[in-house]
Amino acid sequence: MAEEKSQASSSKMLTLKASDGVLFEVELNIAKEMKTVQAYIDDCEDIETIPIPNVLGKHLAIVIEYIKKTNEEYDAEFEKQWNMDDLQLLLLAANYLNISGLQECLCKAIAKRIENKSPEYVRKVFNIENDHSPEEEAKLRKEYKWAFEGVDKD
Amino acid sequence: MSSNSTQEEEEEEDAGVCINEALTDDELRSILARVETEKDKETFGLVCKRWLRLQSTERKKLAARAGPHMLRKMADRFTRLVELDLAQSISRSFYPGVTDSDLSVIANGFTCLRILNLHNCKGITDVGMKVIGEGLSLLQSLDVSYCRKLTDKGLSAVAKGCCDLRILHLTGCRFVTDSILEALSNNCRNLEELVLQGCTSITDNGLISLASGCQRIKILDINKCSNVSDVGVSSICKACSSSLKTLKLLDCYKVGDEAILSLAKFCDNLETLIIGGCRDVSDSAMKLLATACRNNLKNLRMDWCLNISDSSLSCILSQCRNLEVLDIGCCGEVTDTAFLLISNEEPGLSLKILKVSNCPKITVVGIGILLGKCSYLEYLDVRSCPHITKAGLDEAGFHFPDCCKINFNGSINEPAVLL
Repeated sequence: MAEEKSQASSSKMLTLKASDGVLFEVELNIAKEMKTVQAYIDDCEDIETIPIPNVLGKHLAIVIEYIKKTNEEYDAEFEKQWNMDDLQLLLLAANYLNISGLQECLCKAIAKRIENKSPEYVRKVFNIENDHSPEEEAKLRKEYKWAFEGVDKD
Repeated sequence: MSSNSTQEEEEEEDAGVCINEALTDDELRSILARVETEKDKETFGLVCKRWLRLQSTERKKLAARAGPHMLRKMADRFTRLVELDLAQSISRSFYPGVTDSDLSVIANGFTCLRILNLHNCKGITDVGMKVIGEGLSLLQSLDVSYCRKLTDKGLSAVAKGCCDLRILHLTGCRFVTDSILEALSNNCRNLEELVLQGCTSITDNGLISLASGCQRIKILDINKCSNVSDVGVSSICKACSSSLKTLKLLDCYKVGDEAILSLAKFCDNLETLIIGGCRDVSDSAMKLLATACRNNLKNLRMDWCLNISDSSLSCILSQCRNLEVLDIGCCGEVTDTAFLLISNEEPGLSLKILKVSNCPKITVVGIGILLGKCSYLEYLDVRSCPHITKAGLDEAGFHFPDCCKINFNGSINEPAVLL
């Protein structure tokens, strides 16, 4: 509870409606961390329920929890709980809602999971089809090798 | 329950398939930006064509050995490159090396380039420089050290075309004359770093020309430009008074007190000064310099300044408490008294590197006094000092800092500072 952000002077509550209809009641200052929501509020002051059409209830819950609890320790542990699919969906949510701290945290997490892996692994995890022809791919690997061999790394 | 989980499973499956389509270029770039190693970036590019495009356009810096064919490919692929390093060395060279037509490919292909390193690319000529001047208008840093064929003609073309030039290295370009300094003065007002080491045709007129347009110079290296004298150097001191941090005048034997007094008068931000071989410099001028630059002076090389004696040396050591590197080799008049006269106020000296080679009047006594006032010494050069020997120091029982190395007879590698 101590980690939750302190209430604004008015304890105004707001309702966020996820894409699958799930409703979340949040304090105004929590909602304001999502710059998209902030813009919405700025435009129509009286609003009480804000639709979030791009984000599932499951992910919106995670995002709200992040905003309430974020600090260095929390962030470090945060990303470990989610699989790759969830991480990507959370990144989409963070981008749509425009929450820079969460965006940063998630990008780092995804980049870390690519660390030291092969292209085949990355394709599998992101569900990407390899559209390099085998000749192209061989050429790319060879080019890299010749040009940069024996040269200091960046 | 079962229908819910099927629905969820379906959603997750769909989510899995759609992700690469749903993540925009921006989001992928954000992820790529946090991929750290070279190898992982390479992996990123191998995943699919779209990721290859993102990775190629993200790449800002390249170090390679590459002939025209490879360069053309790189130019097609890495369109937003900012830094290109093609410097040649013993370990990194190939036949026939970088040529003028390679520079053509570079100038036409890497239009955003800001930093170009052609150190030791001996094959390039003024033709290549002209192309650079025409094509790379955003260029800020150019290193053509030891590209011996270059002349004023080609380099002026660079100055005229690359108006935002900040850093220019022309070491060893022996055909360069005052005319390039005029071109820089007229076109490159933001110039901050200029290295003309070994460009022996440079004269005072050139420096005066340079000073009129380039007033933000931080680093000026005219080592071995033996034709320059006080007049030229003073004009730079005055014009670049607040910016000048490093001035190198090695073996500029015509430079004397007047230049030192200009430095003292105008350049109190000075951090590094090399006047080795400027044998006319006197004690009184150095004392004024020490007082004026006492806050910022860190590196001072004045070997072969034959007129220097105890009075200015003790003044330098007393005033310049941030001094870390000092070379007074071959300053034959200096004695132990110089160290005795260092004032005892706090803080102690910051000196890390001291060279007193060939100063026959300094003895172990002087070294002992110095050690008492300075706890950070890392390197001491006492070659050709007949009164300072290993035996003598051991006998005196002085306490040197743990990592301190002492060079008695040339068997230790010198630190690279002040070369």
